[in-house]
Amino acid sequence: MAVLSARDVSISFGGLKALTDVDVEVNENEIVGLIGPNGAGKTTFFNCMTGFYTPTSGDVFINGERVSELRPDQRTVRGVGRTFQHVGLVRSFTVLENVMVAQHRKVGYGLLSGLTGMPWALEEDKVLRARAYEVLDYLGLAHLADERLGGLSYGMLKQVEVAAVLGTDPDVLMLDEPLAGLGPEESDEFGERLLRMRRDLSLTIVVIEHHVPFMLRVCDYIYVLNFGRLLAEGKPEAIRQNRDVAEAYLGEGAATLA
Amino acid sequence: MSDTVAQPPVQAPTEGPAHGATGPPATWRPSPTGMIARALVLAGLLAIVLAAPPMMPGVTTNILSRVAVFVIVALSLNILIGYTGQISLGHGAFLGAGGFAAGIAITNLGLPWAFAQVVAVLVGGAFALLLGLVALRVKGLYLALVTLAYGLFAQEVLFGLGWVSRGGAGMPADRPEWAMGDVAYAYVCIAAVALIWALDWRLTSSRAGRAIQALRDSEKVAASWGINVTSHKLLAFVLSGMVAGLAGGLFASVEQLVSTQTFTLELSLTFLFMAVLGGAGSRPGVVLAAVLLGFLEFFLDQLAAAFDLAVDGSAAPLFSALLVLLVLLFVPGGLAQLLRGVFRWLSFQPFRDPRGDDDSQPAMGGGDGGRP
Amino acid sequence: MVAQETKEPTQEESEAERAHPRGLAGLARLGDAARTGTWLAEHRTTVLWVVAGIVGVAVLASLPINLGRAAIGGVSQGAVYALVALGLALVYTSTRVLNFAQGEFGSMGAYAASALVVGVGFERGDVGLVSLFVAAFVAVGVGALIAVLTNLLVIRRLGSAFTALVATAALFMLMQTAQFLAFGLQRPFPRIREGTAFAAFGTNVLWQEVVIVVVLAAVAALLAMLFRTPLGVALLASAQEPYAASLYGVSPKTMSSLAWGTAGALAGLGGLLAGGVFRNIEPGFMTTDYLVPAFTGALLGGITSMSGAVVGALLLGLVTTIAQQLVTSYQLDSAIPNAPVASSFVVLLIVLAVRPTGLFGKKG
Repeated sequence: MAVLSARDVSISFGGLKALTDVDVEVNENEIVGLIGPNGAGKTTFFNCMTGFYTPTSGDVFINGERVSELRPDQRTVRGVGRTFQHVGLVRSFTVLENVMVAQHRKVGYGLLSGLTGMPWALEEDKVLRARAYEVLDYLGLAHLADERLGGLSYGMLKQVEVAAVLGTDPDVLMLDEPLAGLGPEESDEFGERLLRMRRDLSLTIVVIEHHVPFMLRVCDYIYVLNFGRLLAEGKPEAIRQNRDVAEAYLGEGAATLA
Repeated sequence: MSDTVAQPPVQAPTEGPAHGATGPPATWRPSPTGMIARALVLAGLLAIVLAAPPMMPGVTTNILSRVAVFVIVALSLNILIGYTGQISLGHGAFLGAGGFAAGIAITNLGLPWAFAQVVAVLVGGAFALLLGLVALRVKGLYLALVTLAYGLFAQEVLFGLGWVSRGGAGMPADRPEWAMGDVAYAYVCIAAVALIWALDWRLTSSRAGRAIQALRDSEKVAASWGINVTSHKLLAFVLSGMVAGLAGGLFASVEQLVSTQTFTLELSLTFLFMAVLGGAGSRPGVVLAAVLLGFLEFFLDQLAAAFDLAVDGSAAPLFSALLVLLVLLFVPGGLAQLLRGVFRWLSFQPFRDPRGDDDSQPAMGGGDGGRP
Repeated sequence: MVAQETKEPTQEESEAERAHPRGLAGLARLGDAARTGTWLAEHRTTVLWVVAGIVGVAVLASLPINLGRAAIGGVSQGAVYALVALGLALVYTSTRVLNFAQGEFGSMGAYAASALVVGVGFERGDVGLVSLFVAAFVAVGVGALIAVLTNLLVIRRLGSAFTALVATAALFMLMQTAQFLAFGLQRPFPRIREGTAFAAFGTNVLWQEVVIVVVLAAVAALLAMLFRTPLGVALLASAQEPYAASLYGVSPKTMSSLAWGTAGALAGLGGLLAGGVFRNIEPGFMTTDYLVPAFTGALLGGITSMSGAVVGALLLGLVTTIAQQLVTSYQLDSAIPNAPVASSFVVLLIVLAVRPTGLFGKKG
């Protein structure tokens, strides 16, 4: 069953069509890639799926439920977690605190219990902290737990951001350019980690990334966007040999990608 | 490719502490000597505060109560400026709303004092809820103007209404029977400061407060983590208004008369200066700044009397404005930045942050570095 | 780049806003879509304005106020608002600072004039031509000087709009208290010319009012000429394009000082004229009585529009004068001690709630 799907999603900003009739299906436990030249509408598509934009027409479904009009936080509660193109973290918190806040919806105690420091609230906060530490440990970031964000490199921040989104306990993880700031070796490592995360956490993953070889290697299925329209879709092998895609990326006359 | 590499299955991170072989790092604890030294200094500070009410000269005990009230208002404003990243230039309105509400409850309705405080808290919260609803639509500098207009509206129209200000004479607000004296009432106000301090600390270290601080830095990120931005922003306004309302209720019985002329633009700006001078977002910084600015007039008066100076307490706004300008220009983090070592040390942490000094804090609040 | 708030391209953001207009804007858009080609529909806005105008005049005529007095008083009151509002709009347009100290630049100018220009008859109230020019020179010069110093010593060293706002608020307190310490609670201030100029519209028009309106007209004409020169264009564009200024061989620093200096000079002029209205000046009088109406006027006109600021301020002058007359005739003086300010923040709240971009402001 499709965990996440977009049906005929279109959005225009003051007459300018950013997305036109985009149809995307993401099945459980798949890693789905979204590629396309700059300005093709990839991030706009993410924003439509996660509720930051409301599509002008078309619908968005999470686990079969129509969510087109829901707010971002309501979609998060329904199991969609995302990262941002430029790091989406709370800059005045430490790494561990970021992952703690991201678990917002996992906390059971109410406002008054929190304010009055009821024992169960304190206990739950302890569990929250331990869980946050585990997530960091799982991603190999435990040594950064008490660091402030100001001291971290861009690549590190992108990784911490993934940890924070894992804190929301998503079914679908949507990553916007997770390789930004990473070297080739770290990128390979991240690819491995993505596959491992999918298996360990039974995650479904949607990735935006410019690094085509990486995408061809990691993804099960790839959608190609160009000028807000779906240019092609298919298994990595098919995309590799698609002439249109190669042209969109490399210009006229290019034979194939990679 | 990598699928061929056998990986031991790792437990899902959100399902129990199976992977916690290493565990969170142990929290830093001071040495026994350090513990004793810190405890002694804290006990000394507490002793000074507790010894102050009977020690104040002559009829000046009420100044202490007033400063305690200002500390509470500063903490209330800190919820907005420091934690939520929203500005308020009309915080005097909440103070006044609480004050007149308590006065009306005591004098017109004949309610007991403690009950009147509850009324003040509720009215302060309701006033803030209204402003919060506007803040959902209006942002940034426009919001600043709205809060300004809101404060002036309260001052010029609402508090001037005949049945509120008793035709301009002011609304009486008697003290409770169990705290009629100035000294006793000063202790009541100091106890209220302790209560609000504790609640504020709990706020910043529980779910709602963390969510509020997250949306200060980025509403988008907060929303993507499942935080309802609208309700938490409103919550911040209501909590801030309730705290300011309590301050107003206490304030009403300091002079046992609430008069319209008290809640001026200058007073609201003074609260803003307290938050900025202390370092928005820092509890100890804001409290210290409120104490400093609150006592400034009294201090200058005493100084002028002792040394026969021409400059007395009426110059207090000049000095506080100068202080704020200097802080903005040279120490944007305020007292919290200036004294961060002291604050860290007093909260049972090492004097120096092993991670180095954090100067990257945003101008509008810098998280909650020091716990209580 | 440190963990910043996620930023989509700003253009996209505003486009998203436009695509999903909320609240009133959305309703208006729906109305647009439903337009038909009939004459009435095409001129809907005009018709609405005309109807609103007729209703407004009818309401005004039925109120217990002197319309002629309200008009004359409103325009002269609005003219002083306009001088302050122009400065607010200019500073906001060129440096994006909401200047709380704008009124006090004027108070300082007025105090400087009343303190320095003694011995030429100024303090006694018989203002000769020479003392008038000296006083004007002092008030305008001091206002401009303080404004330029504020910009150079404080504003340019601060990072965010928020800190700049707090700093100008602190400067307001600083100047107000300084005036109090130096001059006490009240100080007499002369009118430029006493007495009645002529009678019209069933009321006596004072020389004071004529002078204020003439000064505003002159200032508006001067500024209109300035803003048509390349320098003026760059001045107004400098917030959006800091380097547009350098194209004209003027550094951004000089450009912002020019904006602040002009704003300070306008405030000084306003202080000189306003000081005579009540025949005495009090510490912070330009802030307590003129800053909020000026903010409202500037916002009403769309805070980045100079002509809008003038029109908004004049409109507001009418509103506040009518409010004052109403308060007086219904004997509400004790409840609403400062009717002009009270009415102007009611307008301010309405403008912010209904149309934050003002009457003439650009959207987005």
